[in-house]
Amino acid sequence: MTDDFTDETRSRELDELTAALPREMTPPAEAWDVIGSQIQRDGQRGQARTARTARAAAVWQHPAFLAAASLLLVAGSSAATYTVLRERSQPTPPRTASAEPVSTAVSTVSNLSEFTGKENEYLRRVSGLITIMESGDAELAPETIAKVKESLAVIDGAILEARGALARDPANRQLIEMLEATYEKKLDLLQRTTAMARS
Amino acid sequence: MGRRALLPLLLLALPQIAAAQAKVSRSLQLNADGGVRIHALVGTVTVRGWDRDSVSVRGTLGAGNRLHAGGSGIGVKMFVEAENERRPAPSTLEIMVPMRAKVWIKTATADVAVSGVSGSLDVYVISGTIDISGNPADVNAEAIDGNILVRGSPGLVRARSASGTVSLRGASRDATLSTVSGRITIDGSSTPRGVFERARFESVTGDISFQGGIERGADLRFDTHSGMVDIVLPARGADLEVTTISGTIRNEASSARPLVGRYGRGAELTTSVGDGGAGVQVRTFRGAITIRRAK
Repeated sequence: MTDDFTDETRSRELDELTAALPREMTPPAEAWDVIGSQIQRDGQRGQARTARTARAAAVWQHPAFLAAASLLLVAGSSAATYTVLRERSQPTPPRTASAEPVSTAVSTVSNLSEFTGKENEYLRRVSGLITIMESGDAELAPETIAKVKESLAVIDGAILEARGALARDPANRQLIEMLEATYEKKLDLLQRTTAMARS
Repeated sequence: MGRRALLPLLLLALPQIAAAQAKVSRSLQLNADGGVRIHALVGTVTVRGWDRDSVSVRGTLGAGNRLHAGGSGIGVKMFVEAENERRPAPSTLEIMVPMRAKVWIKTATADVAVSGVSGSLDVYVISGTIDISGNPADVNAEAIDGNILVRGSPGLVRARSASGTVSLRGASRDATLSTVSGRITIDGSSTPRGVFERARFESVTGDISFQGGIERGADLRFDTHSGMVDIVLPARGADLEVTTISGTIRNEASSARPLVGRYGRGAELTTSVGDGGAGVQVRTFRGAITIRRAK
């Protein structure tokens, strides 16, 4: 008896909405200071490596590069969330979302660079759902939205913490799986919230 | 204005308040295994299963509210329409349903209590508590800002909250409990014969505690970012696979000691306790993990 949550039309509307979101967003200027200091720290750590390891490492595997990439993504994520939450003047999207089960599958990606592609997809879906939740069509009480935002902030804190750890340990599959699970929780909460708003 | 001055005014207002509310009493025919859909915005909804092929609704509607109800033997649907949907007045509904009915309840800010229903149960609450007792075939309970309590042994249970607690006092062969910041409590001590066969317990910052029976060949998974995990294994034991990125593992269930994690950080513990035969996987980012064993 969960027919409210299997509306394929609504799901397609959501897909169209999320597909229309911008693929890239410029992070806030202050983010570069954080990135710079992180690069410097990781660069100092990198100097302690042996010369052989350093030569063998491909440019995209360099800790500084990975750290910068990860922080860019984090900053980008924050910027995207910030932007979406304030773009109330945009046309209101469809008010519903389909609920998908929380994924418990083992990750198919094995390192940070592979994960970033998947993370972009998570961010895109999250942005779409936040837009729906914020829209007037969602018919959610402001206090409910505030409560959901509190929970989203808790989840974001966990994502940032795990993301920082992954930047320092980019091949750690356990961390990747944890991050994926946390993103899934964020999506699940947003999907449930938008679905519940429907009468 | 003092309290003594307020009292007469309150007494004068009482009849108007009473008049604004309306008593409701309706009965509808429904097959023993029919479906019931209940939609109420604010107040309390109490549903009880009974041994009759009918639905009975009694209660008090808030000012301006109207109850709409109808259906056939296959299914009954009812909802409370509020005069002001932005600020609906609370209603109190007590609904008797055939015990084998399939019940679906959706509310905004309401406390929902269900007991004595053995059919399937779907309860959705934005802000309010969900209290389910008995042994429904399956339970799906969702809250955004509310606590969920399931007392009994449903065949399947899915209970999800965001900031609320999620508790299962009993057992279920197929259980998924999740919350963001609330606590997850699984206490099977009151149902010693109840066992878990497939279970997922997930939080972000909420603590998780488990005590219950585990079927041989079971697959139980605990996952949290920073919540503490406290597991009391049944006396028979289990096969453990415990991982934390930066938390601690305390094993009081056997003499095995955790090792440094495979990526050079955190801790891991892979061991069989007792006879083993059931998989228990625990994963945290920085939450402390304690494993114990029932005597």
